[in-house]
Amino acid sequence: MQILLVVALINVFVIVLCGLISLSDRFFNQTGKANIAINGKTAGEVECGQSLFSALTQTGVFLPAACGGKGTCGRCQVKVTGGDGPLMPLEQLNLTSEQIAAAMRLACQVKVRQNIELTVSDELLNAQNYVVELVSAETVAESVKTLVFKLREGESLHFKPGQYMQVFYQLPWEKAIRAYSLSSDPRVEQSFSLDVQRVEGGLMSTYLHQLQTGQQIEVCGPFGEMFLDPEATAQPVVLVAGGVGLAPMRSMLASLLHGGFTQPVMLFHGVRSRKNLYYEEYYRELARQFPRFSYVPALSNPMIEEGWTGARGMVHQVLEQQLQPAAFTAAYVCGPAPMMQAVTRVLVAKGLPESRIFTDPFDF
Amino acid sequence: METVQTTLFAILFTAAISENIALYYFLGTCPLISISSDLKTSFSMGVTVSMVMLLTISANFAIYHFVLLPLGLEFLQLLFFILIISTVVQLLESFLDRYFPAVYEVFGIFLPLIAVNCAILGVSMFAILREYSLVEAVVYAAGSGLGWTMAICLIASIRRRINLEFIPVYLGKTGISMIIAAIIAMAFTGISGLFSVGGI
Repeated sequence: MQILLVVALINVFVIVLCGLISLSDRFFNQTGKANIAINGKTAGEVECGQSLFSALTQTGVFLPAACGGKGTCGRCQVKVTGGDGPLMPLEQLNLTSEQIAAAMRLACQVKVRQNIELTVSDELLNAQNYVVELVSAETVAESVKTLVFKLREGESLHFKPGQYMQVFYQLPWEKAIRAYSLSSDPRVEQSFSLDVQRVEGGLMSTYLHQLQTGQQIEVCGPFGEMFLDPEATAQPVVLVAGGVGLAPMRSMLASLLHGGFTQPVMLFHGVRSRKNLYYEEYYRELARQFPRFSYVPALSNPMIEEGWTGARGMVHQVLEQQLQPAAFTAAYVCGPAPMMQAVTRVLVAKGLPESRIFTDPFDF
Repeated sequence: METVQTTLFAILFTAAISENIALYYFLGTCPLISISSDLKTSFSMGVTVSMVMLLTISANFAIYHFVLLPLGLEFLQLLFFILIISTVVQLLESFLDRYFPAVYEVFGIFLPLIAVNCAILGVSMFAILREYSLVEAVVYAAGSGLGWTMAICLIASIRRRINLEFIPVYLGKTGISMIIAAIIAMAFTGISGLFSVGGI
C-alpha cells in the first residue's frame, strides 16, 4: 500500500512540476513573430527567441562571423536603432566606447524579442549565400590545400582582392562557420579558390581537407575590410604573410600582376620550414620577370637537409633587416595575431603610419 | 529569557557568520571556487543562490510538513527536495533569460549547476533536521544565503589581489582559491560558538 502511495505521490509531484515549467516557458520565453526592418525597409518576419544573427540569415542578410557566432571576433556589427536588449558582457569586450555610443551591437549577442530596426552597410547587404562544387584540390605545402570551387550556372562572385568567404558545415546540433580568405584572381567570377591549412583537431579544416571533387558545400560572402585599395595600385606596396596568411596576398598579387606591377611590390612570406612554403617557385619566377616585384620567403626554423640559403628568422625580423624606411606607402598583413602585432610595430618604426597598415587576423 | 527576536537573530548570525554554510560546513564549494574570479559576477551568483535558497526552503518546508509528514513518507524528503530545487532553478533560468539577459550570459553553465549546489539542499535539510518553524527556516535560509554571498565575495576580492602576485604556475587558479577558502575558514573558526543554535 505504501509503495503504491509513494509511486502515486512521485508521479503527481513530477506532473505538477512539469506543468509549472511549461507554464513558465510560455510566460517567459517570448514566442511568436517579430519584424526586422533594415535601413528603414521591412526585411521580413522572424521567430522570436533566436539571435539577431540567425534571424538576419533567414531574411537573406549574411553577416560576417569568423568565430561562428560565439561573440569573440566582433565582426557581425550592426547598428540597432530600436528593439534591442541590454548590452552583453562580450559586447563590452569587443566594442569600443565610441561604437557602443553609436548604438553598434554584435548581432550574435542580440536576442530577437520584439520588432527590431537596424542599419546595415550596403557592402554587407551585397554578401550572398552560394552552394558551390569542389572542382580541384591540390596539396601545395605540408597540411595546406588549395581548393577550387565552381559556382552554379548563372551565378557570379564579385569580390575585392583580400576579402574572405565564410564556409558552413552542418553539424547535427548547429551550423559551424569558419572564414577563409579568397586566394584566386578577382577577375574570375565563376569560380574561386581557398587555401586551407589542416589544423590538428580542427573541425572545418579536417572537413574541407577530406572533401572530394564534385561534392558541394555552402558558403557566403564576400566579407572583409582588408582589401587592395584601388589607389594603392599606383603606390609602392608591401605584403606580409604568415603561413597560410598568403591566401589574400595571392589574390592581391593576381590583381597587381594584371596591371603589370606599375609600382614596387614586396612580398614577405614567413613560415617555419621549407615544407610549409608554398607557390615558392611561382613567385621566384614572377620576381625574375618583373623587376618591380620582389619576393622574400623567410624560414624561422629551416631544416638542415633543406639547404636553405635565404632569409632566416621570424618574418618581422627579416622585414626589419630588409625593408627600407619609408619606401612603401601601404602595407597588408595577414597571419596569426602575435605575428601581425610584431610586424605592425616594425612597420610603424619604419615610418609607415598605422592608418596605412591593413591587417586581417585569422585566429580568434 | 530568550525572546523570539533574539532566537531569530541568533539563527541569522550563526548561519551567516559563525557557522557559515560555505566556510564552516564547506557546502557549495564548486561555484565558490570556479565563479570567484570576478567580484561583480560573484556577487550576482551569491544573490542568485540566496534567492534560490529562500524560494526552495519555503517550498521544501511546505512539502515536508504538509505532505510527507502526514503521510509518514519522511524518507522521500531528499528526492522531493532535489526535484523542487531543480524546478525552481529552471524557473529562475527562464526568468533571468527574459528580464536580465546580461546576468544570464555571465552565469552561463553555472546557472543550471545551481540545481546541484549542495549548499541549497543542505540548508533545507538542516532546517528540517533542526526542527525550525517556517519563520526560523526562512531566516536560516536568508542567513545562509548572506553567508555564502559573503564567502564568495571575500574569495573574489582576495583573488583580485592574487592575480597581481606571482604564484606557482602548477597551483593554478583553482588551487590558490582552495587555499584562500581554507585560510578564511580558519579565521571564521575564531568566532564559532559565539551563538549556539541547535548544534549540528
